[in-house]
Amino acid sequence: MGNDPPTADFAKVVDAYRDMVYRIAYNRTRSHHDADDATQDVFVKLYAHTDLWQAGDENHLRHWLARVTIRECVSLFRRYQRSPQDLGDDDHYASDNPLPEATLQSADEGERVRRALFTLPESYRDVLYLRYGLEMSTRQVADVLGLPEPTVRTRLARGRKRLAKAVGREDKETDHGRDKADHGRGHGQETHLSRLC
Amino acid sequence: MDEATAKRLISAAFADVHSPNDTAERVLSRVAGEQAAKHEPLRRLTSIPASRRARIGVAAALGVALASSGAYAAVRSDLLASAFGTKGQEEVAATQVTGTFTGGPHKGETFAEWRPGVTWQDASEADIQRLVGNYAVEVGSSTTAADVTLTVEGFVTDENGLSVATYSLASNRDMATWTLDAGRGGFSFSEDSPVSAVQVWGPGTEPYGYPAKEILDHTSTDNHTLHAVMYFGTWSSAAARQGTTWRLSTGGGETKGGQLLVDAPSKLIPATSFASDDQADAQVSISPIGAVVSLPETDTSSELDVDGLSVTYSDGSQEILLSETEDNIPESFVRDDSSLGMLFNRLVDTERIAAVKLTYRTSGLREAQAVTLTPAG
Repeated sequence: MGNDPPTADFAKVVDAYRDMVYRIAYNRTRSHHDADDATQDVFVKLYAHTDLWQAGDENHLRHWLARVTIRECVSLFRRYQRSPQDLGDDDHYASDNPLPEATLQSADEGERVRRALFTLPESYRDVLYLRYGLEMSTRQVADVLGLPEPTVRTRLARGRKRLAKAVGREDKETDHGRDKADHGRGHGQETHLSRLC
Repeated sequence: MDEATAKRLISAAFADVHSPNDTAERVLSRVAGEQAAKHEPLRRLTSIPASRRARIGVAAALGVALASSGAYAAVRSDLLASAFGTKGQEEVAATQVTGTFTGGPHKGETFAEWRPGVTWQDASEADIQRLVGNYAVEVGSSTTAADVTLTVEGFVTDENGLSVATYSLASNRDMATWTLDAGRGGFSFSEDSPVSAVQVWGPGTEPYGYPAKEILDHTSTDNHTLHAVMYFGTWSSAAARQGTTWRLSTGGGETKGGQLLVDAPSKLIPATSFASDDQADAQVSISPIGAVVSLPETDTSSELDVDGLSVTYSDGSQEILLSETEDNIPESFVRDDSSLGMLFNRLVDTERIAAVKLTYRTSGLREAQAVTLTPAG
């Protein structure tokens, strides 16, 4: 055991990157439970790669974590006998999981955008989050996902369009719900996300 | 939506999403082999509902005209049989997902949606010879990196720049755990593999690869040799007349590995155009290996989506390539603002097509439009 890597150092690495890994997994699985499972699995794998997390190469580590997280999510789906494509990794049809209750019931901006984002196929969600959530270059996104860079660019462009439409629908639906709830009380001052798109 | 807005919205969407604070503790607990101290799983607010499985009938297949190709004899028949066969792939049954929204404005509403299935077909040797035999190129060129040898075996390309190629990876090492099943016949390379990707691209696109989907050929893959079929498309018809560069990428997706150049084919598979009588609808240019769907020139819409594509043969039988319940298109991609490229997982007998049925949407159409197209001009 004397050659084991220092666990305190590893715990710091986990704490530094656990939200990043969790968000990638949550964006892909749309499930806190699955995201938690995937996050643990990713860091258990990372622990064995001592040279990687002790090297201090942040870019390399981020890239490795993102790539392995995506693959862990693929494995999760496989374990559940459902393929990622079946859940929307395809340009021809949208994803179809019912949305988490907590997401649907809230109307603040973050959750409303997330709700809109979760209606997109995962092929779009992946590139949108890696590019705009993690600020990766299109080349880095392509490497993480194993896609040609032009495909990433295409998905980004179309993903933004689809997100804009979905956010627009969110506004309408939320307004519709608020119209009923606020009947006789007037409208609130909530920002319309679609105006930003 | 511009990039700055996308960045702001995506950041906002995940600002309040955090992993549990004890993640490191639980990871270290697992690493140490202690009793897993996982959280009580969060209650699943939703779950994948039990799906009703339905096997989708396969429409009539290819004709059986006699072969007329002399060039086909120059290409190993097993390469083309792999490219246009089942590859030992299992069919994926279409499933219907139903459920009920548990909250929000749609609370209590039910929904139902199909997840398309995939069917595979073996083309007869006679059909292969008749439809693509004259256009097949046997390559046999190899490059080696990280003790793995990539061999591009053969390929065909059509006038629209759509290609189907076969390649192999060979190694003395045990490759049994090098690939991960990505579903629907696709695969990716695992952490155990020194290979991170096999890419192909053309002049002017370097170093970015063409859009491609690889399907594993289970019938000829073993622990030391992997055989795969790559369906890929160029960004224009002109690119079809240019050579390609293949890269065996190693080292975590970085630009390491070996490369090899493959000459352009001397002959391209002809494609046939189908349009509505007044040419006001989207048009299809189809070859035995794929199709390009284009908006009419009068449509300035910037977005085109295809929901359905099938062909009706002269004997009345129908071949479904894409529908709500069937998806036999392993790769599709946006060629430009007004056209989509689509590659088929089978040979389509273009010599017998009487009509093409297309269901498509554009940003100018609120509902999908279904049209029947006949040979143009």
